[in-house]
Amino acid sequence: MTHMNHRRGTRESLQGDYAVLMMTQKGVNDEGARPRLQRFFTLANKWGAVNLGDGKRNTVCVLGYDDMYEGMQDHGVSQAVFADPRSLAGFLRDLNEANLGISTVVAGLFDITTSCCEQAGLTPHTYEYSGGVWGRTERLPGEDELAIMTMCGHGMVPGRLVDHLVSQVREGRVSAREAALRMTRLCICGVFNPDRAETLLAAMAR
Amino acid sequence: MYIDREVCTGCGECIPYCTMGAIVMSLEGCAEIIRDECVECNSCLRANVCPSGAFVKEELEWPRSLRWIMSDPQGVHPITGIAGRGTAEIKTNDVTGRIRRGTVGVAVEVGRPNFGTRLRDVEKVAMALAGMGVEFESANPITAMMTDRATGKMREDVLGEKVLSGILEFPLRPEQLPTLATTLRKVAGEIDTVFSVDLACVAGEDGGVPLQRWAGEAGLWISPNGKLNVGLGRPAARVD
Repeated sequence: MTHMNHRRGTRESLQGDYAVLMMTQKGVNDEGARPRLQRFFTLANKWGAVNLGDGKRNTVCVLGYDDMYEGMQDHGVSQAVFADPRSLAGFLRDLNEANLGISTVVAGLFDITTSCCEQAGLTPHTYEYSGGVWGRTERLPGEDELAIMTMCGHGMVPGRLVDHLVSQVREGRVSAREAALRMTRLCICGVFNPDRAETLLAAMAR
Repeated sequence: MYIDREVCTGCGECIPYCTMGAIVMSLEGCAEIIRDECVECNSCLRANVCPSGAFVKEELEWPRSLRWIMSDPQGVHPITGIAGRGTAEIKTNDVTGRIRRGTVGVAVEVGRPNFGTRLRDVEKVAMALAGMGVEFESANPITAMMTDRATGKMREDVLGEKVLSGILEFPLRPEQLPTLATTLRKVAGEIDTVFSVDLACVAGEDGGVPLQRWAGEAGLWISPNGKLNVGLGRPAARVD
């Protein structure tokens, strides 16, 4: 799946957005992986991840940390989002030292993520770029909406919801934080960044 | 999915949450789902904003069940046995070696971002790519629905179904990228949706990223942000 690719936004906004995923490969390293997938959560929590999820049941926002941690299975996927390069680099360094042996993918601005890898003693193996969006692009929402929407790569955050919540924030019916959390709860993988969404929503509502 | 008219209070809270904009307010003053536009992603139910519990999840039969499989992140494909709309792709490439050094891993996700697509349009893109002679990835839900992988033709009974997105995956040699660009440009004008393109490569032995040069030479734009498999998986697979 490409669900962590195609995150849109300005460079300034993307500098606060780093999604990480750890995933076993069936028949290769999935048997008995549960404690290692759980270790991911422990380390991500230590480094202040702003969202966590297991990609199958739901995220920390819905399940709570203990339920999500205990519910992890051998064939699960551990996912987290960080809001700054320092946290990402620290997390990757700890992950490298933990030597868990499970494939890990980082999404973000390449110049920053590769620098974080270097700081963590990691050598990037495979790169994946977005080659853009083609077709009836004139019918897509605006870039402000897309910057928020594309943080859920499965498409669970529609543009009309972004506009609706911006109106609610502007009218004082809901805070930008609460609006961000309403969208965060829709992304069951845990790669939606509530901190970045809050900032973007507040800016759109002004 | 449908909304129980007897239970719905007509508050309209659910309407903005539909990923496809398929929930509308009826003349009778209650919310209803436009069935043919609904992709059975279940996000409306998971949003849990209905104060009266009016959303009812139905037992789905084929081919409608395909909408759920391809649109709900929790849906597991009966053929590939994985959740999601494609393979693990680069996520586990360090232990699978699926994308080899010196080649380009390509994914074309029809319907993304957030647009949705009829499988008819996925077939159009598949057939255009098949014309290049691509070899579609076997462990992929869209490939599994092709009646002829050489042409990209898909089974008739699914073509009218709407899904959030469908992914076509295949490897290419770098010298095929200019043809890919031409093919995508042409088929982009023939479909009633959008598609997102992913391009992947294994790092060079010198640590460089050859795709940057290959894409530039082919006239293909690539993003400043994307995904990195950081090589922590074990046992490591050969990629040469």
